Amino acid sequence: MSQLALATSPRSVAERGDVAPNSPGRTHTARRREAVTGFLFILPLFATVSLFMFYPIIRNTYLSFTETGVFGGETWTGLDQYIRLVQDPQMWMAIRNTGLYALIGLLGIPLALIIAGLLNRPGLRFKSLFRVIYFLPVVVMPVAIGMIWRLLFNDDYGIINSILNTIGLSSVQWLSDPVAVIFAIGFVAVWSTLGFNVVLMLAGLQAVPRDVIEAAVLDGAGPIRQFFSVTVPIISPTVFMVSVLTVISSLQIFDLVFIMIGRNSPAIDDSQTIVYYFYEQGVVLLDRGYAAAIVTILLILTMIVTAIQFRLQKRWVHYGS
Amino acid sequence: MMSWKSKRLSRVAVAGIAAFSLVGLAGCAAESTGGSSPDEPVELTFALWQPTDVPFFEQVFADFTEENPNITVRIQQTGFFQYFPKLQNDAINGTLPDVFQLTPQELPLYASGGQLATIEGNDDDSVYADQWAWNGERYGNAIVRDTQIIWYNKDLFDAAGLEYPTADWTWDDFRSYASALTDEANDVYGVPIVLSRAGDRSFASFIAQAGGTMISEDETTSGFDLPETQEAIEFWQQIAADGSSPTQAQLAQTNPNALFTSGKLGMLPQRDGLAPVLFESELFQSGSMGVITLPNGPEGNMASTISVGNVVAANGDNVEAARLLVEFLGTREVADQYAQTGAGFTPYPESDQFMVDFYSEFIDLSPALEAGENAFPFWRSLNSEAWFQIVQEELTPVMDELADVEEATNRIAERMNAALAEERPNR
Repeated sequence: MSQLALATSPRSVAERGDVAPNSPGRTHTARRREAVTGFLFILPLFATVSLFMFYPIIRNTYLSFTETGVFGGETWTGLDQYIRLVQDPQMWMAIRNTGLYALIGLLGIPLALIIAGLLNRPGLRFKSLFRVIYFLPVVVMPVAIGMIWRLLFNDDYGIINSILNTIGLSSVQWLSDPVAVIFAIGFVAVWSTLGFNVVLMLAGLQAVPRDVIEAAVLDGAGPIRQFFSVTVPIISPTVFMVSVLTVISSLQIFDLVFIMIGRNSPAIDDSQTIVYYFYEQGVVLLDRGYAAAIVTILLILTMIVTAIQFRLQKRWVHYGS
Repeated sequence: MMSWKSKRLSRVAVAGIAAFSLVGLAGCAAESTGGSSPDEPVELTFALWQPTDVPFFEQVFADFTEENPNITVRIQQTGFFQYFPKLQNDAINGTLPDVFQLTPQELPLYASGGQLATIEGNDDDSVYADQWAWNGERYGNAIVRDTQIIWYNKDLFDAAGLEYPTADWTWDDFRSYASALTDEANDVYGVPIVLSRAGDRSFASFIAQAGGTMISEDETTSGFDLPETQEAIEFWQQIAADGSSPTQAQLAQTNPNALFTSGKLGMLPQRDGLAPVLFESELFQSGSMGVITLPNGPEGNMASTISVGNVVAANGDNVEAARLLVEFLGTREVADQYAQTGAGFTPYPESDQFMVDFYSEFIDLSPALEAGENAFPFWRSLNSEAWFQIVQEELTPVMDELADVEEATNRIAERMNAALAEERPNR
């Protein structure tokens, strides 16, 4: 995380700026020796990444073209699993739900930005206390979060519905209504990652040069104008980073669905995510070939969505001067 | 100036997500060979899901180690819903516990997959012997016997002005009790319609009572398209239509056992061995719970029974020691001890009285003994879980939105027959 925080601060990046390694006059062997040294430095990382990332990806992709036996072993079936996937309405629902969670997750970003802006106000009292409060959900186990919110959202005995009833509103079937369930899970997902986003934004905000703000004040900008017209564009690279991370983590929601809804609920089809559907097929129903195809689709979707985000950033992200 | 850095970071992030989603899929069954001689000290692992059984097994394993000083046993307890997925992964990775618990519903999958070692049966003439065998080979010994009965809340019966049910009660009595006990304003319901595990805790026994079945005797064809089977499911749909059960959504959010112990359910069809779990509730300890055999249907009051037994992993390092342990756990002495500590009923009917005596201060469990006499083993096939899932999926709208029973059950039969056809090559 500290690495991320560093990366989002424009100043620290400037200090580390690109250093040109190839000055003229070096001999061929010297350059080669340097290259070898370089490779040796990245070898430990490359080896572990190969073992824990590349190998599983390749193995998984292979499995997605097979029909697996219950206790291991597989037979090649070509594209069968993918054809089955395209015809599977549950998979389409899972993709839809996952997309909705990602959208709700993006709605949390302005919220994180505003909270970070408020926390960054000079002279704010109990600053550390507020930061701790906002960050607390991040360090709580996702399963514990799911269990607590499952109780709070409970249709019949939950606190949220009893509050609604007290103020004269009728109960909402948070964990069983097809629409409400998306909001309930999306809300908890935003709530549990808000603190992390706030910390990233705060790091960005603290790197905003004071003289730029002072110049804006001299030009007559009020606090709100300052924030949206000066501060936000300066930290837009941070906002971009946070949005990429948020979308990627939203695409991976599993534990909240697993804990808050569970497979016995009739609302499971309306709320399950791609990763949950993967779990259901691969771990519960033992259909690992099919499950492998599901996560291969997830990998491709993630890459597409991230690529789109990088495309769009050109329109609104401002990189230093 | 910043973009290379953030690009690199997101590339890492993209790779990271890939790793997170894919890790855990890889892996293949590894064949391990040999077994160590019992002369050297060995440690066996023993896996189970029932947390209330742990103290009992700790005691029994201490006794076992006293008899066999070279063998110690380590207990691995995992909650029920994670237990089987975990076992499955262990099997694929070749790391199954030396001894673990199964029900006869999972046994065929593991036995036919070559994961289990054969053992000496302890009760070759009992109804359970057949349940713990597959293709003529014996793989496990039952240690727990669970039969379906109805637990009821005396306080709610009193409040509704009803007499407690008696052994001669009928389906109609059951339905009218369920309706009379329901008090929707206070979230109190007569009986929950639980659809997981093919309705073993609701309509399953009623299918047998109506003369139907879930699966043919040779375990190759679905019985859901039989009129008798449909009759039983229709009966339960009427209970749903009366409003006597919480909805499926409510049951998914709050465990039916918890609803029952907090006084929100008048009757709870459950296994008789639930006593140690219910014992932890105030309702139980205040003497407000009763049990009664299932109501009588057209053909009688058959009750499904599920046993829990111990099996030996075929690929373990200490198969001989593990066999010794499973055979020890299958003895009458251990069964007596199990019942004496109130842990549950055992396959030895002779030990039942210990269970009844243990809880007599709080509840009269003797109707459970009668239920045991009319018990039939719950249905299974090679991969039972595959069609348990189908049954739950198709019957949820039947019980919630009152979808047509005949249509739904015919669809179950069709899908189930397809699933059973897939099993055939592995039988």
